[in-house]
Amino acid sequence: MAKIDVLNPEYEAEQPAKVLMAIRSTLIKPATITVIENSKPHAKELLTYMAEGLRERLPIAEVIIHSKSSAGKPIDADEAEMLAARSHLVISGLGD
Amino acid sequence: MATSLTLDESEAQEEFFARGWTDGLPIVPPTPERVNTMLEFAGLTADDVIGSVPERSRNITAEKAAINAVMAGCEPQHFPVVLAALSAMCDPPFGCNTAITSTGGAALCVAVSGPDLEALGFNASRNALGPGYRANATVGRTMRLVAMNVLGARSSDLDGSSIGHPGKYTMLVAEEKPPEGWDPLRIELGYNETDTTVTVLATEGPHQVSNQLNGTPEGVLLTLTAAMTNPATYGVGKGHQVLLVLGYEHRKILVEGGWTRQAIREHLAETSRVTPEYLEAAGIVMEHTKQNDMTPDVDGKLATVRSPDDIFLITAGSAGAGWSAYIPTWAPTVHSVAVSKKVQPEGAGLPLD
Repeated sequence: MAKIDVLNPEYEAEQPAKVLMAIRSTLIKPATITVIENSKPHAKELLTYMAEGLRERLPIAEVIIHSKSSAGKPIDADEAEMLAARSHLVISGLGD
Repeated sequence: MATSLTLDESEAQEEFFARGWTDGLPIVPPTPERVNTMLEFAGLTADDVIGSVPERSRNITAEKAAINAVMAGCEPQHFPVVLAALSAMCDPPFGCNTAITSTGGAALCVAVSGPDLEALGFNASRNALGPGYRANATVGRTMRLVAMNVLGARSSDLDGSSIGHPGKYTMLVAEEKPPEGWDPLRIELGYNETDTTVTVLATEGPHQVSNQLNGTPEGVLLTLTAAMTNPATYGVGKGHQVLLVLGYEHRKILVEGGWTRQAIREHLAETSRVTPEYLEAAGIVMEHTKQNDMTPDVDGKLATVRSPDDIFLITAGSAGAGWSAYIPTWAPTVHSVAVSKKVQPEGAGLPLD
């Protein structure tokens, strides 16, 4: 039986170095949290409901809902910087 | 560099199926010799990067593109067309990550315009969107195999298509030389007559458009408008893009009636505007999200295409009774827009622009 060599068509990633979890910190009181919703129909309602649930359970003073311009695209660097500056915690979520 | 396997030749097909490396059809085994021939034709080395999809932290290297092109059945002379199309697909405005993930199930549709496509083996005439031509079939198929194998767009992984369509196997439109008086698509897009170009769009399947008895330009345009305003098409009233494949009779009627390409695009951009009531009568609910705010304009209507530039006209197909095709992008332009690139000559290497 003839043997052939064939090449792997898949993406072949280099093995990453060990990945560590981000440092966990205590939520500042009273905290401002931002929820990024993906702008799909009902995403805002769903994520607002969840944020309000968090507010009842945690020392959160303010919840800001930030809508993305497209569900399919990430927020840009300027947006990320702005959200980080005004929030103690940012949660990204999606709904559809 | 890609890893390799040593297989019994008779087992190669089954091994590729078992590993999930095909689109469900048999492939040409990508031996190092075949892959090198492809790379040499394009003047590229294995590690040259054709494009990146940052959301997936993945590059498409020339070698991976060549491996998948060999598998699809591409000939080396078609590899530069593949490379230009992959480069377009990775251009950020195309929104590749979304296009190959969305539940909408978009094809990676390639529209090719060039001075001598027939010599390259592309069919732009009879059965222009159908089977039977290696260049048409395999260039389009490579796009999907790369999306699957390199970018993870598989049903078992990151392809979230609810229904999908057969154009996801392969979808390529080659441009038939336009009738006297009309420029080809590449000129309209700002390229030169001697250039060969690709325009890549993330699309639904082709909708065939029939108007066989009305010989007037106005009649043909009314039918194209009807096709473009089907409320069941997701982008209608939301501002998407459209590839209109004008068949033989329809383009002849339009050009002989004195219609320029620009006039057709301007006309259809206007006539495809719809009212919320028109969509609601078909059960469509108006969206008012940041990405899709369906608040009508001052005329009470919503744009199906926001600009005449969102309509791409291409001539293809042979004489028949009166057929064209309407190929809408799968989503509004906020998510994805068509990207065009020039095809590089043999041995050109990088850059691809």
